[in-house]
Amino acid sequence: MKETFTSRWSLLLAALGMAVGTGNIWRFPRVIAQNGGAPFLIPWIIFLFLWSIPLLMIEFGIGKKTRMGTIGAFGSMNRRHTWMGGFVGFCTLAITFYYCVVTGWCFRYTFASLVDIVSGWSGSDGCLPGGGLWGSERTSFWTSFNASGWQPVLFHLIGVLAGSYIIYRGVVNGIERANRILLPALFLLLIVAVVRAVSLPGASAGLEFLFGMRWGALLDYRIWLQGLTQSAWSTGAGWGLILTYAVYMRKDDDIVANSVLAGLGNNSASLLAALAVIPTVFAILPAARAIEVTQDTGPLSTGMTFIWIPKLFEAIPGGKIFLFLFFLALSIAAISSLISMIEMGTRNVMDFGLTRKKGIAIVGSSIFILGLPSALNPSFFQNQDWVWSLGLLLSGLLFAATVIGYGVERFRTELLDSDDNDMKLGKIFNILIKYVIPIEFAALIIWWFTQAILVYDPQRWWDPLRPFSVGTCIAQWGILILLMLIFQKRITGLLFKGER
Amino acid sequence: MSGPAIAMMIVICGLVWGGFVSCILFVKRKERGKKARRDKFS
Repeated sequence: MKETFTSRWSLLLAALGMAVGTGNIWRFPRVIAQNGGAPFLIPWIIFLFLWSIPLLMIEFGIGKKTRMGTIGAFGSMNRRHTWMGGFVGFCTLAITFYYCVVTGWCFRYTFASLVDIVSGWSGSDGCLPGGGLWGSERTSFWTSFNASGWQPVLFHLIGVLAGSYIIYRGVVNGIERANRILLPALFLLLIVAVVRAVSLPGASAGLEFLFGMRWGALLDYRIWLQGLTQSAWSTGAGWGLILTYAVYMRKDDDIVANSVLAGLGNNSASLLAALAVIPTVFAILPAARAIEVTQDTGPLSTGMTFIWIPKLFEAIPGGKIFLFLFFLALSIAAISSLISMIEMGTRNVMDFGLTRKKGIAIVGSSIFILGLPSALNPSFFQNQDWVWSLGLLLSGLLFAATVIGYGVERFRTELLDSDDNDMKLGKIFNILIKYVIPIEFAALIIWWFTQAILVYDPQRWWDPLRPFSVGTCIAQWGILILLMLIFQKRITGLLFKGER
Repeated sequence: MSGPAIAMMIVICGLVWGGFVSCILFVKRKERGKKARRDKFS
């Protein structure tokens, strides 16, 4: 007998914990800045309803119907679609390998900012000479942390252990209890950070940048594609994570309103993060410099969050405390998403008849070992981020494809427009799944591959051994799909023993 | 901060946060209704 969440609110908190991750706090403010502020917010909101929420509904629906992890769920929908579940599951697990490393960075910075407060109180000038804890050069702390080798590995291990322990405790005592504490704390921390940021002298320049609309910018197709990309990556739709949590939802729980609430909650957290970061940067630096800083991608995309924010927060009154609160919020966002990823892997293993304890041992140790190359080698990290982030777009398409195979109308009437739901969708859902999501996928994948061919690696875009090439994506996805197809019959047989 | 930027801030924050809070209140109302029905038939 599978555990279930004790209430709808517990499920919603877990869903929000999954959706709100480092992408909301770390990536979103930078992407807004890189796309000129307010114009980006329009497509970002539109695509929430055209990509993320429909896929969240599909995930909730499939999870609730099949009560299995990604592999079994796709197999239940159609025995010949087991490979799709394998692709979705592995793709998310491959992201978990390096996401856990990122969670480790967040933990390290939270710990360091706490040390900075304590060392400040004791009158010390910090650990590094010349510029406090964060160093005299803007990249000092990041460089010394990353170059040490052992520190990223140690904090990666702490991330694995913390996430695995929560999952080991089970759905009610682990996932539910953790999210009941983490999510309210995260929103509270973000609200405190926003109040502090917007009350700084000069913060209004940041608000002007964030909300000053230039309607002409909406004619640029790249803003629309970036908005769609952010929506696809940030909400966790199409990753198989909501599907996993839906396995534990109560039998009469709603799908439609829950999906809308999870999507809007995710965007609310993103907006709070942007309001906490951008006005702070504009309050400290002159406008032109502030724009440069907020747009800085930096090594491993660490630019603004891990390089600039520690230095900038030092310049505001009470900055050390707010820096600690900021990184604490980032750590909470990271761990609440990480546990959903670990549960996704564990649920898949448990579907083969293993206990939760054995499942978590297998998944946790795999995450630690397979995350080591990303912890130690920035090029490997970047390659995996490139390949599997784009793989997620394919995962989203596979969700739509399996529902199309099952029958969109049948899926909608059985699961989304049933009496369990507080909202009814109508035929708009059919249009979104049959036409809009495939078109969005095609637009995104063509655009990102075109970027690789024209910008990232024009000379050797076809080479599978290059970190940002089209070739590396096709090769890694191709190997995975081939393996899944070869073993599909055997995996399906193991999952559905005794069933014809 | 200019007038149009303030207007835009109200629209964006209203849509996102207002939508989120409205959804929470909607779900809360529905759950209360479901609980009342369950209590009535139990």
